[in-house]
Amino acid sequence: MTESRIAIIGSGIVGTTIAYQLTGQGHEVVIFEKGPGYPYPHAQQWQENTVYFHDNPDYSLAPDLKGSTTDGIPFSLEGERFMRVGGSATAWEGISIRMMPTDFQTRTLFGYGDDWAITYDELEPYYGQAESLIGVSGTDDDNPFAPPRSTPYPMGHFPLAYDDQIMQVRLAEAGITLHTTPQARTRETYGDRAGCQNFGTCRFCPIGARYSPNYHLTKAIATGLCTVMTSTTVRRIVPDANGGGVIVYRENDDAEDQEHRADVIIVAAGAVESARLLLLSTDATHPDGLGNAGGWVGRGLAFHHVWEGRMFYDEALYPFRFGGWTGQSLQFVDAPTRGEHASVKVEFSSRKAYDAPRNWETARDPQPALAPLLGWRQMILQAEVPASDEKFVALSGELDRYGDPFAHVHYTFTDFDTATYDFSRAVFDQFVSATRPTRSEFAPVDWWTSGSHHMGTCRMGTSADDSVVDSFGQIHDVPGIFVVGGSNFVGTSGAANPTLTMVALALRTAELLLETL
Amino acid sequence: MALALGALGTGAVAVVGLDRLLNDDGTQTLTFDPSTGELDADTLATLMALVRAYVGDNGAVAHYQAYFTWRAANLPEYLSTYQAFAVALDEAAHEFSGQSFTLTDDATRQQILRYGLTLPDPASALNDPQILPTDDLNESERALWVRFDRMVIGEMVNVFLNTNAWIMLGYPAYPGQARGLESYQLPIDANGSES
Repeated sequence: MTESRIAIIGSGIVGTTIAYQLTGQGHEVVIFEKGPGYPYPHAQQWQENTVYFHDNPDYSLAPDLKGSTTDGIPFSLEGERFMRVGGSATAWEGISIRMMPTDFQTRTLFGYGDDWAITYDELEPYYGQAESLIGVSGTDDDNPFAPPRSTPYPMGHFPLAYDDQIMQVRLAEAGITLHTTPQARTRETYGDRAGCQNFGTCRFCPIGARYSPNYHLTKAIATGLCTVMTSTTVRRIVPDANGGGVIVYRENDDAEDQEHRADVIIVAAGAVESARLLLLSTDATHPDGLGNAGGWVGRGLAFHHVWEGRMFYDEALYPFRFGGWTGQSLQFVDAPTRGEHASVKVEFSSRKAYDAPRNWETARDPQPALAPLLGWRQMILQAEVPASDEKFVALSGELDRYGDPFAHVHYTFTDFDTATYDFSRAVFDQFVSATRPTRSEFAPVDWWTSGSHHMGTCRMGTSADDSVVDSFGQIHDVPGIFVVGGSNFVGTSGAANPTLTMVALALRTAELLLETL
Repeated sequence: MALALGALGTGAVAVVGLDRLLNDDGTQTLTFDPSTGELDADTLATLMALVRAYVGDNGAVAHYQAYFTWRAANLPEYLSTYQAFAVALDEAAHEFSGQSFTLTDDATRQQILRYGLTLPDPASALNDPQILPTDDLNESERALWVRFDRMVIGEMVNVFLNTNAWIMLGYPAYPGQARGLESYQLPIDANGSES
């Protein structure tokens, strides 16, 4: 059996944030990562994907290790989970928005969902640290709906694109604010990160301008204190009554399990896999799974509900000349009718909203087939989702390579979710009325995606009776074992993109560990 | 690919461009070597002549050369498929003009390309096997068509749609090029300039 003081399961943005903080203070950390390595900077991946249009299979986990079953969701869950070193944030969009203060108290203020075990004011300093860590460019000068902040953005904002400016004027005439988007993308040189050059292929940023967790992981490794065990699957955690426990793992191509003892174990494997690992970790003391004394593990799964609208304008708008994100509106996150429906965020950004049909007609005569690209704009309505008993992660009947059950996602829309869709549709209609497209279309209620935002399966609370972990992510009544990340959320992160909140919570947990180790 | 050219262009049954790849009875003897490696200059020149015929004046084409070279060097069967495709293109060119594809004039290349991009099912995806334009092809000829269609023509068009097509529409640059942080805020004039 190997040993270390601290072990982290999952090398995504949460695990790497904690590893970077701890190794920076001289603590040795071992990270277990189920997926393969993923080089940084991502220049090679950028070249393969955007120059050679090749999706390298070496960066994907085998289907008999990366799987799940689902019912009730209209998208591929596996398409949203990047199990590799750095996790899903190796390919994220970089939008870095804080939750609203009200999002932490929806039960108290609006009568739906549940309150968090932490307030905005308590988390606010960590938001500032998170923005500094990942390098957020932004401003609130154009956004009267932004939550309060005690520190400035680390870098100036990315201005609106030309087509956004046209829309901003029309929206303003109708009383709607379109403002810029805070994002983890370097407006200028930031430390040793190069400034953004606007390649526009941001899922694979070749120069590290868009933040990737591998940036800080590389630095953690460089200290000599961080070991990353890639292609290694953690199958169980066996807790020790005195704190920490034993991680039972297997190198993916091996036939035998191995064991690793750690005083502190941090599970940071994403909302779905973190819950699955706890459910798999049964013993005489935890017959229903680790941290599941109150039956909360897996319950409270929440995806953002993301509906897409499109508008077509006769004029040539030339969208998508900037690869990051431009126009957003937080005007509707705290609408006066919140409570009758959930919070909704608007992305009305200069994106590519039209793909020419990839057929032989297009090939023969591209211009007419491509021309609509100039006039189409996309509008994204991203809706908050409170926890519900009809949304959960459980163990599947299907097994992985080692005979362990995959995760099963069960998901059912509630009437409240439908009411939120109706509100989103009404917001879309306001934008249509204000900006005057010649055509528009909006997704039906069951055409939603999650935005790859998976949350809420190991929620925070005050005791095992109402939750899995406390606000630092420590499992109730299980000393030395933490679950950290979007899994801790109580429902979704309001309508805000979750990553910045995940990093803020990770920094808060790291601070606690540094005080107690 | 070239197999369809003569059939479509002339209505003749004869298959142009595949003669050197097929046995006398029309069966396919060519096996596609999975080896990766460096593209020979002749094959690359033929592929690039095809690209220039397709792209026309809509921007630079050097990235296609990088594309073909990289795929031949890194992905199984691309090297041998490119070589076979170049042979077929040359044979088609000889049928049209009595010269190799690289030596034919632009009009002939365009003619060959135009026929190659004529298919009866405009809704079919480029990367899917195509419905062939004629029933006059035997099984081996069809297999070759599908291979060339998927691995060469379809991919070339895909590269075009992601790069030069943006220039065709009036954009000064396409995604993947470093475009800076200022000009995206400006209008584009009729000349494709941001000002």
